Amino acid sequence: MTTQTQAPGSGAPISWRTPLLVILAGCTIALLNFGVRSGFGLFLEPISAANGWGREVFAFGIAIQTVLWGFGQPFAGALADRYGSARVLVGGALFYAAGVALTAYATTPLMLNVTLGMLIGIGLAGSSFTVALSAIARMVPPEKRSWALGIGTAAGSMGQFLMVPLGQAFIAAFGTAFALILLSLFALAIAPLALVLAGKAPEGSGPQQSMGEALREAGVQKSYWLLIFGFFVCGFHVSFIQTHLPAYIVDRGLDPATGAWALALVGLANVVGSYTAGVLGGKRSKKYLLSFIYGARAVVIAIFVMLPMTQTSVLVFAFAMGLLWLSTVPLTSGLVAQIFGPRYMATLFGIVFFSHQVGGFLGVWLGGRLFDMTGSYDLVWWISMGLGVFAAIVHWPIDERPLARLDPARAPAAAE
Amino acid sequence: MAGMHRIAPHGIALAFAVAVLLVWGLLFAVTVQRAALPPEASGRVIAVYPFGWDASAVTVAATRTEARLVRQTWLPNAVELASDDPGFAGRLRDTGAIGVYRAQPFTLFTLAGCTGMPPSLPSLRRFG
Repeated sequence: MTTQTQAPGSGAPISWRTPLLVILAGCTIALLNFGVRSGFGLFLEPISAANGWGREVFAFGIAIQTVLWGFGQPFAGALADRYGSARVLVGGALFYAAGVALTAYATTPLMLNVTLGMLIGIGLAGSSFTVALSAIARMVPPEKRSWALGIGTAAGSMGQFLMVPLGQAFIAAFGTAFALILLSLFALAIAPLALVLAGKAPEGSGPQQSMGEALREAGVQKSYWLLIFGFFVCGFHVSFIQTHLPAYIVDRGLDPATGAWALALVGLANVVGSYTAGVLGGKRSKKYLLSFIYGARAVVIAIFVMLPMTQTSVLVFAFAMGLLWLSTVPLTSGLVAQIFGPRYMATLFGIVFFSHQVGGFLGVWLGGRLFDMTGSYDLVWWISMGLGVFAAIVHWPIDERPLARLDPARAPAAAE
Repeated sequence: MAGMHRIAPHGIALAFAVAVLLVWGLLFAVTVQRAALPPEASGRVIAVYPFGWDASAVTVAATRTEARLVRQTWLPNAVELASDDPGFAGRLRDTGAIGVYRAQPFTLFTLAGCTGMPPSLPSLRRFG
């Protein structure tokens, strides 16, 4: 699969794959990829009940899926950089759709682990918004890139928000098995959309690199490691709050419904926050915006934990955190593209994203572990605050200028 | 780039969001209509009353059918009820319900998550 779309400003012929079409296709892919996955929780009870399983069987399938998604991300990115985003997205969509559809027919824990766990995990990595965002990033001009990554992330957030009620309606109208078949069609729809994103990244104006050289280059850059550390904190915050906030709220005497509404509000504000961050990232320094976001998270958490809890304080906290939720994604992915160029962005951002997933795992696990040890979430909230401050600090010294290899103006200075 | 220069970036974002919401709204409306129970249905159901009805008005209306109140939902205008008497869904509609659906677990908890799972299963189990 090749494309005629050329680097902006190259003067090369423009194919039917215009940047606008690429952005719309990429956004829809992100929406479907995130959206279908966000509905899996709806199937926990009906599938467990139908098969006489405890919740652990389904939860273990999701755990396998999450691990494969996280581990698979850098590899999917590498394949996308090597063979083109469309091929990886199509392959991922096929795995994803097969996994969702076959989950309907899983009657043993092993079958569920293969379908819900392995097939969907691999499919999620291949058809992920990380691969889609990378494709968008290299097909739009640099001045539009941050905005494009923002709208892509916002689309994914929107999918998370919209697909859950739709999945629920599918179950009510058609039953569990057919609802899964319908959702698998949404996952399958990623495949034709991926064709719009066909083509490998342009090599750019600088010297050409192999993937190994790109990885070695990134590995010795302090800024790359700081991005990895920072995104770890994002995963920790998001997963801890999403998983444990409802229980924390109930422990403080509020209604469980308040916890549910709080997370719904997070999801809604997240759409606005992601888009706004992308827009601002095109006009302001991305690293300072990231420092602000992580610092603001620490402040918001501190105020929330220290003030008396009321329904209003919970909803205000949820709205504020929602604005700061995935707003880190367009800025972090944008920085990877800005510093290293878009050629190996899927691989390099895939590695950064893996760090996010590790942070997410720790946020969920440590939240529960420390709650069991101390009888409260207070310690984890303070750790979250500390991590927010840490992330705000580590983003500050990032050198967000393109590497000398990409920026001829810096090359002589670098060579001296 | 011609296409992008003609349209304001925020216009593209807004148009995309509106298009998605329209498609979603259409799918959702058709599916919810399909999910509505026939008048003769009975068992555990969710009765949805017009928006604006508060929980007490909903409860008063719904229990006029002599159904058993199972629980309030996270929507003030929706309530879960149970009755084995045939024609239960139809009687609920007679009390003002705009829709009657088969009761099923639903949670808002997954709306903001990356995990796709209801959060903190062990810690929430005590809430049923």
